[in-house]
Amino acid sequence: MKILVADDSKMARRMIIKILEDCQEIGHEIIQAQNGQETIDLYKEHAPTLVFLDLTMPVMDGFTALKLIRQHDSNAKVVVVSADIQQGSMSQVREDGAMDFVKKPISEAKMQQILEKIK
Amino acid sequence: MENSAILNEDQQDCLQELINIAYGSGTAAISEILDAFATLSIPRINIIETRYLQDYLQSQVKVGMPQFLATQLINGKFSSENLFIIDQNSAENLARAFGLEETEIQDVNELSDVILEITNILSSSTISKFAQEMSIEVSFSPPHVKLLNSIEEMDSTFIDKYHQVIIISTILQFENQNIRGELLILTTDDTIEFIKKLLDKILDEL
Amino acid sequence: MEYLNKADLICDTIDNGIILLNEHLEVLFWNKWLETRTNITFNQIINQKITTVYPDINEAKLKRKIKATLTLNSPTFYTTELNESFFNIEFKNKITHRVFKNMQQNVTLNPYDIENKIVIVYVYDSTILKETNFKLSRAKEKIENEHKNTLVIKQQLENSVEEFELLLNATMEAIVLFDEEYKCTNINDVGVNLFNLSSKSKALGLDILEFFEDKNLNYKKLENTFEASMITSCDNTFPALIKIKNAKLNKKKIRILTVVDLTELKYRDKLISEQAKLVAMGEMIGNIAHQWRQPLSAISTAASGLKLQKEFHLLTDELLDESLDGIVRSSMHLSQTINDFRDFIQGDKEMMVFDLEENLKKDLSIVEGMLKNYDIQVFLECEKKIELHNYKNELTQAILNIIDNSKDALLEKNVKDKYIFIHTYEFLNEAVIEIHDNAKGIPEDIVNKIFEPYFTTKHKSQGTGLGLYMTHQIIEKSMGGAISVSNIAFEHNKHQFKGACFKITLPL
Repeated sequence: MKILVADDSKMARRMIIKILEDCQEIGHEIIQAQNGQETIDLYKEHAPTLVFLDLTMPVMDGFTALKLIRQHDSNAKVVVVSADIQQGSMSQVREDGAMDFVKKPISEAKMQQILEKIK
Repeated sequence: MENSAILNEDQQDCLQELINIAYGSGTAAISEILDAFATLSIPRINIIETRYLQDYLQSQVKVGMPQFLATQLINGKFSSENLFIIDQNSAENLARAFGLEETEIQDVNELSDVILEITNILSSSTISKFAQEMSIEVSFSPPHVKLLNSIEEMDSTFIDKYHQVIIISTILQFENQNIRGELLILTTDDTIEFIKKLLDKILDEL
Repeated sequence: MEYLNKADLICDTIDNGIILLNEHLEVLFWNKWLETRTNITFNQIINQKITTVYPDINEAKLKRKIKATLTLNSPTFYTTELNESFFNIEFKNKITHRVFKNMQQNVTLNPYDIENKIVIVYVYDSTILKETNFKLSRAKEKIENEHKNTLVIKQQLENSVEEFELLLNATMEAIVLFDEEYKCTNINDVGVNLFNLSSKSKALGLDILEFFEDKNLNYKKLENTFEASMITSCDNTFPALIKIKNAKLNKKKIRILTVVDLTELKYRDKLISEQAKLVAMGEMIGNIAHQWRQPLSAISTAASGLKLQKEFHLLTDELLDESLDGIVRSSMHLSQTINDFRDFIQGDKEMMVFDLEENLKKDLSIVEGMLKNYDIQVFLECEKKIELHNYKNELTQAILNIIDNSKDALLEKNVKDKYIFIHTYEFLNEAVIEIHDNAKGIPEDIVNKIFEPYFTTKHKSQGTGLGLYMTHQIIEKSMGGAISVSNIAFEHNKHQFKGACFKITLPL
């Protein structure tokens, strides 16, 4: 399974990748994006099965990237992982078609839940 | 302001992420307590030597306007002191957001109480979350607040105690208003060393 | 850990208040501490909204804090400012040193049961702490005010000192201050310059005698102004007018020495004296010219007479001897006049013993011609033989001047019978010379001024005004005597006359 991890923080990306490893979900191809623009480009290029998307990114933020991805592919499965956990943000991303909204740091249990949903 | 002299790139990155997460909680707390009005901007981390602190603050705050300075001691392994600085205008706007009446806003005691609450909320939410992520225990002393006519009045006795200061600056945004407040965490060299070790530990596990 | 089961004992014995509140502000627990301080029992308040018992509590604020605590899962605080408490507990027992009427409190809210939205409230009595702070800040204010006042006073003092220094240095005189022991404590700038000191500090501690040339000067006895010779740090001396004043400053005795440099004045005096001397010399030459006319005329007449007589073969040995005697007499007269003049020019180098009457007779002979010419009769009366140890030529100058003035006055007033009387006698161990004339006296309004330099009633071309001034200086300063003038009325030859009388006294 191809998984796209989008976050401007290297640490954040590594944390998600670690959790994936902890869930023994190895053998996935992990693609990393550092900003919204890159996220779109890489999505178009690789068509990953799952996207972990941070909201606060430079160049183009997560909200816009989400909209564009969903426009491009209405079946895109995007999980928003963010430190910003306000009600407003949460409802916004759900409206824009995110599959789920997860608070950072993502826990093992939550990750399992998400992976179950995909399968 | 050489961050790299104190933390390397990986450590900085890690710290930034942890702070972001902690601040996320802070934003949520403020939203809930103040009925979803405010947002906290992404915190910017700067680490500077304490002797440059006053100059730094002069450059950041609205010079000439009276400033509220709130301090709160944090105890435990992460021993440090929180400083929250907010200019009087912002404080008054904040008080209105808290739902205070105009008469109450003119009362400096009421205004001080608002500042104390914000300080408490910010430091509790951020530091607690941060402590949780680092798996350490912290406890908080009651905060104190003073109204200074200018930054020069700031008592600089603590500058001898702390050598480095981690400045996490965030802008509290309020509907259309800019309520600008800056949260500073002063740490002793011991604490920074301690944080470095913890960051390295986390990095290792990744 | 079963000993923690006695949580209720802890709550009842702890020295602060414990309240359990829910989000609706209902009291679910109220400990003993609160019971005793509020006189409200557990049973009275349980399940009541706290605001029913304490309506002063700001409901909105409390609710907000409870919400914060529960949301953050972290404590929130009330820190009360002066005179504001969480809820009103009046002091009924504390009487002494009371600053506050009611209890000052520090309050902490902690999450107790997040699910059921209950918080635990700790109430601490911080009155004593606040009182101490209050007293401290009052003391601090007081000290700050006193400090301000001190600064003001200090400034005033500094201003006074500055003023004092300005005054001290603005005078013409040197002012030197000494302590009780006559050791120098201060000196003004004029003093520093006058005594050629490199700085003020060089003078400090010096004994007063170090400033005087005469180290034996008995300054303690001298209260009035006196003249003395001062000495500078370069061992130069100068004449000065001195006054030493004793005073008390801050209960301590101080001595104030004022020094007026007389060098310039003395120099001018000297110039005047020289000037006057020249004038006197000029006068004397005039007198000599007068003197010499008659003897020269006599010699010339005798010589021409002899020649004539020889031509007419009338010259006898007797006639020749008579004429020659006359010529010799006249020549001697001429010679004597020259001697007198020479003596006068040379001045007196030292005091000498001389006979007063002889001196006066000589003076009169010098002006003999002039007196005869103007038809002035002079009467000299010396009661006894008086010997003086003084400057004789100076006395001559003085006497000649007085006679000259009398002559001028007699001529001016057109007195018919002109008289000058000179009378000498001894009185109280002094020699007295009285010279009076009948020139009708000196007007009352100027009689006090005649000894002043440059004072004259004559036209510029006729008088310099220095004569009597010099006479005065000579008699009083040089010869150590005294001179005074007055108007008198007297009788002579059965006539009443008025005139000026000059009285000179000289030490014996």
